[in-house]
Amino acid sequence: MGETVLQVENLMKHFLVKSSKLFGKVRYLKAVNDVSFSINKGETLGLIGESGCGKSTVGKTIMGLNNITSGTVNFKGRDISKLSNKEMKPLREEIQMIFQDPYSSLDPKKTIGYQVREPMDIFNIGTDKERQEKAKEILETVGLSYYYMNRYPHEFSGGQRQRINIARALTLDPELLICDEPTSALDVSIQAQVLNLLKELQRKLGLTYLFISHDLSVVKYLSDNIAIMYLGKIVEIGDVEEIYKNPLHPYTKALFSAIPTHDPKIKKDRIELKGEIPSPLDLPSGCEFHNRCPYKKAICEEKSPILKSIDSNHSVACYLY
Amino acid sequence: MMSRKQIEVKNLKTHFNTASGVVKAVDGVSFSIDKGKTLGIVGESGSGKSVTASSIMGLIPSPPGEICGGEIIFEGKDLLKCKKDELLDIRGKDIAMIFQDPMTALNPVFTVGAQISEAILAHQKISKEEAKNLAIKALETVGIPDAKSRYKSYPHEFSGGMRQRAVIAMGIVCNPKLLIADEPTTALDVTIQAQILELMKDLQNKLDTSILIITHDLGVIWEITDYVMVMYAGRTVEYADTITLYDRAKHPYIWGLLDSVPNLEDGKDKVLNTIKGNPPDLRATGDGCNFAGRCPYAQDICRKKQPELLEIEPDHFVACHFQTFDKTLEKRRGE
Repeated sequence: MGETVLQVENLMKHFLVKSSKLFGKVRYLKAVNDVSFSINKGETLGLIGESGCGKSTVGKTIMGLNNITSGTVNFKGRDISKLSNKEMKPLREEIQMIFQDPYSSLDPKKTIGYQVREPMDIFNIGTDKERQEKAKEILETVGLSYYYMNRYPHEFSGGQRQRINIARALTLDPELLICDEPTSALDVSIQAQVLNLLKELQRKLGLTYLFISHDLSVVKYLSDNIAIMYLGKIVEIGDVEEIYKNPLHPYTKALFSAIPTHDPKIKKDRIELKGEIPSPLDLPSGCEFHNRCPYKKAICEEKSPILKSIDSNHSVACYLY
Repeated sequence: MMSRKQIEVKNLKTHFNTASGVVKAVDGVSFSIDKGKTLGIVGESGSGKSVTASSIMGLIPSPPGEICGGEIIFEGKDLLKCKKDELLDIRGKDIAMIFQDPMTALNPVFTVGAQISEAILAHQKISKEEAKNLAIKALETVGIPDAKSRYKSYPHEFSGGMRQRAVIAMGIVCNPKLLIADEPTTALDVTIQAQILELMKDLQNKLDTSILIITHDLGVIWEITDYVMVMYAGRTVEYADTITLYDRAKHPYIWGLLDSVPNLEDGKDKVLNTIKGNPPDLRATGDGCNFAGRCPYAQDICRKKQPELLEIEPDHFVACHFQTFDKTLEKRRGE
């Protein structure tokens, strides 16, 4: 087993929601509730869940873009969860993030060359000439020609922009890359290009990925381990092949059965979930999933289940097991 | 025998005149839909799927848009030759449309119920009270719990899935003969998407509606359609029934498309096939095949002459120089 790059323990992130009334009650939106996982060097953890389940908040909180409510984030053995912005800065060299929307995450008024070398300017790495060389080299790594350096973002297509985003994240030779839905704004043929690129870069540079997505087949394609989130909690985590073959949590089962078929001749058996996802402002008592769960028992309404190890690399939070 | 065709579109061309040239958004699209059947239009963003739908609905802003060729025959009438008030009669009643983004398709300052009633009152001479009852019934049909009190809710009080149901309710409330759904599930999560697709199938069985569904998600196509039309850069490249297309797709673009989707059954070592390059600029499409620039099989003729849409077997149309009656192209491995 490789060395652990990232270890997250009991991560919580609650957002304060002020009432519109002057003396109204202050409420907390529990976006992330007791999330723990770890990623080994050179591996990928896929974080899956539906919109609003808190998966992006996990990514942002690890990056230090949100203050942590409680819990620890260990990056290469060092707790980074309580660092100030100033102390965090040198670490950003090693942890980088790729955002979902390739249109809004690039500055429309700056050239591609400027944006790709900007991280090196900020960290004062190398001479001017070396930075220029490195920017060229990185752009070529992601499959863009260096003569694009003087162009502006609007001259590029969505797929190319996402490549530029990846290039920018790679200029500092990071160890950990947090990818927040990097392909969901792209067409399938372009998505395939970006996914192949991410896979190839991991093999070449030994990168570690936290890959956040709602698209199960995309996650399957890239990940070694996956974690399924529902309402701020991880309900199932483990080896990707194992979970795809043998999903245990009722929510995981329903989620997998909802994926559209890949063959029009095979009609899938659907587990249809009734009802809607409850609001994270007003979490149900006990297990978060109990009001939609077809296998509900009395205990599910009282106490929230904790992750229980089923196999060497497969845990599930459910009273059925 | 009466024709079973609900709508037939022949060689439709919709162009936009912009400052930097004419954008040929739709440049030769043909298909037909039988009564009670579902046609899927699949293509990448910018391939002209939505413009095709808007052309049928008569919603192309003019200027800059212009429908400069083709016919849209709905129940024996050419919609392109209809007068404005005739169109108003058909639109919303016989042909209804469900838009992609349920967030923006509903007016935030009116209640959901009022918006559905409005659609009924525009087409039927009935009292407001009756319209309200019909609207509540429609909300029940699409599975909104407690429809009576939900009638008075505003769109922001609904979740994404419920909003999409409300938009569908608005679409079906006048029992349309053709329902056009433009990416109806793209903004939704997979579990909600499964619910909505199931609902659309149910409604079709009950009302015998024809459905035109536009999507870029091949999974949705396999799930719900009877026929598929594949569009690339404004043109129909292949048109067949769903099983045929899945088994024996002929156009190299579709081969590439099918291979670039990650599959749950694949192992971790698999490398996805990609279609190299980007779609062409629709202002500068020349005489040749629009896919020639990205096609691994392209030869000189592809860059010079636009291929015709030919019926190579019954109900299977392909537009490729190398997939005709006397020529076939074998798919090479790894491309």
